[in-house]
Amino acid sequence: MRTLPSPSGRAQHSQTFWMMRKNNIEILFKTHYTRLYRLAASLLYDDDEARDAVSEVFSRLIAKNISLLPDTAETYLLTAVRNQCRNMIERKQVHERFLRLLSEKATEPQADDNDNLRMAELMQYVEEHLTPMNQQVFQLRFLQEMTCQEVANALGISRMTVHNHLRESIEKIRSFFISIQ
Amino acid sequence: MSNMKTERQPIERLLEVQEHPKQLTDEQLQQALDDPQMHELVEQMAFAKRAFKVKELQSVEPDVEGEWEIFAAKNFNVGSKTQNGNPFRKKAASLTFGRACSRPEEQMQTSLSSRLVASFIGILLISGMAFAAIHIARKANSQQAQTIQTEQPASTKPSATQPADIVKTDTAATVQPVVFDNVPLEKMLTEIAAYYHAEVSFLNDDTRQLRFHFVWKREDGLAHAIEKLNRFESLSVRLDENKIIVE
Repeated sequence: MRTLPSPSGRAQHSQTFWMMRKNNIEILFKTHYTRLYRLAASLLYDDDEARDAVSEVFSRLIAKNISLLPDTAETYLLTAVRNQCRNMIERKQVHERFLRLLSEKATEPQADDNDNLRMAELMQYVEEHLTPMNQQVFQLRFLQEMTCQEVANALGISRMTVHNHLRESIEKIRSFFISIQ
Repeated sequence: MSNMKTERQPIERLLEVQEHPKQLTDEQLQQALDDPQMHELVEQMAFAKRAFKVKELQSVEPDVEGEWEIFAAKNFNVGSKTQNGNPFRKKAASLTFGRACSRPEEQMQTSLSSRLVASFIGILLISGMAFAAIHIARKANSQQAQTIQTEQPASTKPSATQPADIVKTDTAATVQPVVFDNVPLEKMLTEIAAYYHAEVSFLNDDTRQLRFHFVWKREDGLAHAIEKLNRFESLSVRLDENKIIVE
């Protein structure tokens, strides 16, 4: 006849299981965090939101008691983070998505290796064709999400000059896309 | 020339709307984005922004250890055993411990008390081992041995010295994060507020004794610390001028 473990035995077993689970999650977390964070930050452009997205994916592993195999863990986690980012972008108002240039398309599963290669090509093109001032104005306006007036104040130039640099940068970036079509 | 003008129109339009978004309602903006030329331009700009960001991120190294500390505190806390018996499910009450469970609904969870006590003892043992390890490491580095305890009576006065249950993760010369391990909120906030010369106000006395595991990076500033504290589900903290208000 099978005997049931004593309450203290059950508690001990549960505690051991819990600690093993924690160790497994810790290894996964520490192994993959940097890559997952960078992916989320490249899709959401926001440090806090990126950290939340990655954290949410790991929380879900725990809540749903999902175990990952070493061979497939990275692919699973990258897909999960991408999906989490898409959900976060979808929940935003159309104005915010537009203002921050958040793209749902970028979160599509196939948008990985191809995109990475093309982004590297674009940055090469930017280095060669955009002036340092073009690049600086573009970064402050779109990456730092400053207004044109704030960029003008930061760089000690007029608002019109900021506008001209942005237009010039966008025209050149458009030329890149036309050249690869 | 006219071709150049046609090319410039959507760019000028994009820059105009980006700078003055309130000019358009949601519907008008959506209509503008449905225009194929504008849609293509916005997608290209989003791609370019992403390319700049990816390049920037190549040199960014997130604080993985710190992030794990925060994640573990939220998801592997002793109190995270919930009513359905799932030990991993995230819940607001997971941030409270033993005597700190001052809320009536938590006190009613008597059926879980034995499990909680068992878990609590387990964590205490682990904490004890961790503290012992830190203690030994410190002793090896310095002749000034320091006693580390997990339980200290809470004080409402800002203290000039570091509380015994606050463990610095390193003794290096650079500013290292302070780890509050199972420390009452009141004590923790008093310490944080004192550092930034701020005041603390609790709108609900029950929250004073909630205990948390929290990693405080002083150099991040008070606003960032508050933003991190707000990630705890059971906590709502805001900064009103120079006053930290716990709701």
